[in-house]
Amino acid sequence: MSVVRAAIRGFGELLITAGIVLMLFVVYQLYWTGVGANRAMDQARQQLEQQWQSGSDLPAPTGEAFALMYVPRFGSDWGSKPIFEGIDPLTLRKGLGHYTGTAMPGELGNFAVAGHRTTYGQPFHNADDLEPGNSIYVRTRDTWYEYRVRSQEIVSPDALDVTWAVPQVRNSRPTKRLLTLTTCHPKFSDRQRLIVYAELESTRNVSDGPPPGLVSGKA
Amino acid sequence: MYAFIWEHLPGNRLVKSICALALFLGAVWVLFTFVFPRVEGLSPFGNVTVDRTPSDDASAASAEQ
Repeated sequence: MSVVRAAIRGFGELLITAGIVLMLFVVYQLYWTGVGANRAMDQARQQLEQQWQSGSDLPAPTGEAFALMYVPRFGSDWGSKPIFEGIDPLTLRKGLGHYTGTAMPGELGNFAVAGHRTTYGQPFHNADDLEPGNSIYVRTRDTWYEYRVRSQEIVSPDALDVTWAVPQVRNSRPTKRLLTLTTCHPKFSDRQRLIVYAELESTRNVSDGPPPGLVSGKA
Repeated sequence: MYAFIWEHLPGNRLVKSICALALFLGAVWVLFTFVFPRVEGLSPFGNVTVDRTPSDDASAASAEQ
């Protein structure tokens, strides 16, 4: 009798332990990864500013930051996020990642950028809030690029064609200067991907100061 | 299991409680530092990129998962 009781108790304790471990894992994913990511992003931002002063410019080696993104629509708390070269998991833990091989900011073609939705500082948490006409600013050493959101789309995870120079059109010559954001969808899932397309609206020399729309915080 | 640990912790109730808390925090530390970073690739929260499709062209060759 007491053996049965001990076995049942042991099994119950195991289940409770498993529940606690799973809860801790959720805390780790949704909160703790962000602590490290925010620190990494601050560090990358400082490093970028130093690099820009010392004169080094694009292209950045894989895993290095080369630009900053500003999205007024995400609110002033969002600040700016560094864009790193490459989209491997380790790079995306530090900030946004540029799909290597796609266009660079301002170039003809498609400047494609991936970012986390719910973990690692969740830079693209509110990507579904972006509406046509909203501004996305990208700053490199010498230039501000202002992109305007054109549309959103939800695609399957294997839809790499959204990063093509002309999205969804194979091997065609680009005529537009696009920015494409990719993140997971729905939140807390990887069943699909949320894609936001934007097109270059204007450019501005960094020496002329930050874009007026960014200073005023207009979305 | 927990009863067994409790019985083998030293001291009176207060000391046992402090030891138990230390054990718990140690377990959390091990999980956060060693276990979770290794298993998080299995969670669905982190996949934010679009992957190569089987019939893909090579233009975005390095856009791997």
